Amino acid sequence: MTGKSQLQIGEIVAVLVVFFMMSLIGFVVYFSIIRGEVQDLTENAKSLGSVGVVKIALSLPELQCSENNVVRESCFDKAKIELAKEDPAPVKAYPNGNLIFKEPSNYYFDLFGFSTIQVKQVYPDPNPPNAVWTIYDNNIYGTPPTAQGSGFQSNIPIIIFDPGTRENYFGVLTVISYSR
Amino acid sequence: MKSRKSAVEMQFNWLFVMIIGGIILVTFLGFAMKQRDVSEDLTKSSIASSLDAIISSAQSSSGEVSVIKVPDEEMTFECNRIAVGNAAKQYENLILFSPKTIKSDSIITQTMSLNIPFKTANLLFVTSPDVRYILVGDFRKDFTKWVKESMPKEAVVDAFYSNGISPPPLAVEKPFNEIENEKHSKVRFVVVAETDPFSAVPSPFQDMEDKDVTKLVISGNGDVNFYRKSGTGWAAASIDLNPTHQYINETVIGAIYSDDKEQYKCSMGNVKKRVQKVTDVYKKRVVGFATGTCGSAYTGVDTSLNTISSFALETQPNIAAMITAIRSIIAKNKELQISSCPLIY
Repeated sequence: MTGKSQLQIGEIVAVLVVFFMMSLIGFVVYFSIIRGEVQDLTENAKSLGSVGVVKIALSLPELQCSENNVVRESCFDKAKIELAKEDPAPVKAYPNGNLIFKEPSNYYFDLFGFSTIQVKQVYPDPNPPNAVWTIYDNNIYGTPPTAQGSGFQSNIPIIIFDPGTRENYFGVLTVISYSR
Repeated sequence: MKSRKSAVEMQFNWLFVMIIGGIILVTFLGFAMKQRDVSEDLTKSSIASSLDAIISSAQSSSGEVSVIKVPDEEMTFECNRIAVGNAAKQYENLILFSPKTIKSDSIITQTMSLNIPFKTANLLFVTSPDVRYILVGDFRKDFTKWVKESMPKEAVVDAFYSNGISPPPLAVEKPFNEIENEKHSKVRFVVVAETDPFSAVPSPFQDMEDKDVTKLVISGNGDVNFYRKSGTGWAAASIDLNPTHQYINETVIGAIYSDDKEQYKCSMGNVKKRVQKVTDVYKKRVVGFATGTCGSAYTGVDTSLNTISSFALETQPNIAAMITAIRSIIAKNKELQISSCPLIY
């Protein structure tokens, strides 16, 4: 093989090296863009998931206020959420409230997935103060439900209706949705 | 000598170019094919996610009908499972009534609240414009008329009267023997009458595949019986429901949408669990009221709620007793309202 032909092969190899390097750079740029899009989609999915849990919680017959089957929007029945206190064996005990939906059978997992749902009365100041009802808790990180962990938190103003006294209170529904 | 050497060089160059060219071609082809597979999986996964979103939405709203455009992929609805190709989603307690498979570019969803008398669940019905529902019965009767009116206008629903009904039907109504095949991919006959006029598959539909033609017979007492085409006749698939008592109206609509009895039984099992969960909440709630000033006004309510709750526990629930209990709770709720006591629901 002559020096000229060796030079020709060298040129081809150089072109190929440049070509593959450019292809590699192209792939890296492409996949970094895709990764960014996937991260955006994941963030959107997390927020949508949290909103979905809020919607379901607000419309659950086990919690909702109704009079003659006429449902009041964004309203929780105090008599229903206080049933937590009657739960004979809550999975965990919390100082200001108990669980009503945490069960070994995970019946509510389809609806709420990995999330924590709490209802807090904010006005008038309840007795005892800072009354919180933790109505569902399935935190994949195992942290206390008051900690946000890496969950997506939604706070929704609600009405808490006491059917016994026919009084309405202001409250906040807090939903923390967790994802890996 | 020089020309032979240059010929070898040329051949070597071509061989080199072909090998490298082949590698480049194979790399890019492989990448393109992988991307195609990923894209197909993404599409299927996106349909599964859309269906999941529809199910979530249905759990929070009732009385709605939607037509949703979807990619033309086959969707399979099984007991607590929805699958689109390899993408599947498993549920614990899915309340969904639909044909076993749907392959269409759009789906129709309908939600209906199950009130007994308090709201317990939203029933989700899914179908497609490729499924034709042929209702046969006397549509002047309350229940038959309710069934017809409960079906969404967006779905393909045709009503025909059965023979021998008295007084004669309106002139605008067609008799069942004038049914024609309009070339839908699936046909479901729904007979709401004492006697089933279809002893055999109507001749225009006999050429269709067996799996695409089904029949539901809802007898006068609310018993539902599932049939599937078998040649020119029907193969029965009776379901274990109490044949002597009326069934809940809303769940009969579920039977119309479900062309597979196992899927229907599974969804009904989930409905029963839901009824029990919600009724238990109301039972405990009423106990709290019964200790107050209105205490005596709640006498008998727990018995009625227990009867409703038992619907979930029994394989053949006594629907007549349940309806009596529902009426009793409705009456009691009115009494409580007049007495300004906390309502049951």
